[in-house]
Amino acid sequence: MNFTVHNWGLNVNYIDVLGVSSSSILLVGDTQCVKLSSQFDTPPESYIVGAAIQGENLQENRDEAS
Amino acid sequence: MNRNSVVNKLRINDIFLSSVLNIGDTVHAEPYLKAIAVQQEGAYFLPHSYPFEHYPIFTRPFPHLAGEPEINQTHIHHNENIQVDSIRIIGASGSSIIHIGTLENLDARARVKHIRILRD
Repeated sequence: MNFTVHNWGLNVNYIDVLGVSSSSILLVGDTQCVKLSSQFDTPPESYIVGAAIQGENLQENRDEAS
Repeated sequence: MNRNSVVNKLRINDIFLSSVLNIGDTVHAEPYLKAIAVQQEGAYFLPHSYPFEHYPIFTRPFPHLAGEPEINQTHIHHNENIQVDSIRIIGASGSSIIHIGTLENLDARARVKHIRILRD
């Protein structure tokens, strides 16, 4: 596949960003190759109700959670 | 040939947790984040109670595209500048990059495990 790009002008007046987080990027400029991959999970079992906050309970909950 | 990036005003409040403000050109960037986000009632957190090894998400491999597609492209820049008047960013966190300038190659990865423990 061949293609030609004519860039005449790129002018942005104002960029207002709350946050740039977890390996993301705010790029003002040219680039060749961008690869962004992320893995995250919020499975139902990550929502545990009624866990008493003691050391050993945390241990059990975590075994259930993973 | 790459264009220049021209920014008049740049205002950032906070660059946090190995994030980068890069003004200038970069060839290769590989930010990586491993995080466990625990939401738990009560302000008392035991240290080392959430080791990374306990969660398969931190060892699962990332899928990647096999083979580069065959593309020949030519870019003709009639205006050599990328112009931004002003940028306001409140925060950058978690191995992220605020980059003013050319960045050839970016391979960013993030692994986040969320845990919520609420008392009934």
